[in-house]
Amino acid sequence: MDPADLDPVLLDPTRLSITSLLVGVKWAEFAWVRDSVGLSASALSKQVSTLEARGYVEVEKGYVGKRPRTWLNLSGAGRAALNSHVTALRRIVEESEGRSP
Amino acid sequence: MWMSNLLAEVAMSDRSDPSAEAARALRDVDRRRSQARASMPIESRWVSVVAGVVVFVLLAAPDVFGEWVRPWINFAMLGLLAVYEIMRRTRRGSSALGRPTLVRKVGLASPGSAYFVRLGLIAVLAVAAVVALVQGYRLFPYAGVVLGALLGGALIVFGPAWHRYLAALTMRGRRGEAGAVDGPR
Repeated sequence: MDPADLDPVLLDPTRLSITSLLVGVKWAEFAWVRDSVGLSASALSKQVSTLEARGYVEVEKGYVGKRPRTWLNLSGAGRAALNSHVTALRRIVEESEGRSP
Repeated sequence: MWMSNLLAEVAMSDRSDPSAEAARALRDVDRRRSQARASMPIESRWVSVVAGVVVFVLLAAPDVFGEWVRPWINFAMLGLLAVYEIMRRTRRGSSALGRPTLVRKVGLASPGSAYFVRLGLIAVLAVAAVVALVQGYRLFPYAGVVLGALLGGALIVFGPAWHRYLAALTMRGRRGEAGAVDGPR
C-alpha cells in the first residue's frame, strides 16, 4: 500500500462525501449539496472552506432574481486528488483481499 | 513521518481493520456519485407550462391568424429553444429552471439506456408525423387548435412525469456497471 496517495484532507468522511458528490456534476447548488450530504449549512460551509483553501473546490456566489445562491464545483486539483485517494483506497482493499485465504 | 501518521489515522478510524474502512469509504464514494447522477433534470413546473403553451401557439396560430404567421412562430420557437439551452448550461439559468446541478454527461449514456432513448425518439417522431398529417391534409377544421390543445395540455399535465421517466431510463442503463471505485473510466 502506498500511503502517499491517501489525501489527508479526504480522510474525513464528510469531505470525501462532498467531493464524491461534486465529481459527478459540473456544478451544484450549495443547498443541494447540503441536503444530499445531510449537513447543516454552517457545517457544510466549514467543510467547503477547508476544501476551498486546499484548492479542491471552487465557490461562486450570485443571485437568481433576488435570491442569493452559492454554487460549488470540484476543481481539477480536487478531481485529481479524489482519483488518487480512491485508487489508494482500492489498493488497500485489494491487498487485504490478496492476503486473506 | 507523516505517512506513518496517516496510516495510523486510517487504522484508528476503523479501530480494527483499515481495509474495512477503505471498503466503506469506496462504497460511500460510489453512493454519492450515484446520488449526483440521480439529481438529473426534474425541472420546475413552470417550464412544462411554458412548453405546453408554446406547442399550443405553434400549432394553433396558423389556424387562427392564417399561414403568414407560421415563419414568425417558427422563428420565435427557435429563439425560445436557444434561450432554454443557454439557461440550461448556465448556473443562474439552471437555478431559474429549477435544476440544482448540471450532471456531467461523460459516461452517462450506455447501451442499456440507448434502447429506451431510441423508443422515446420514435414516439416523438410518431407524434410529429400525426401532426404533419392532420395539419397538411386539414382533416377537419381548426385541426391545429385541437392538436395544439391536446399536445400542449399533455405536456403541461404529463411533462414532469415524462421528465422523471426519462431521467430514470438514463439512470437505468448505469446500474450494474463498474463504479468509479471499481476502476478508472
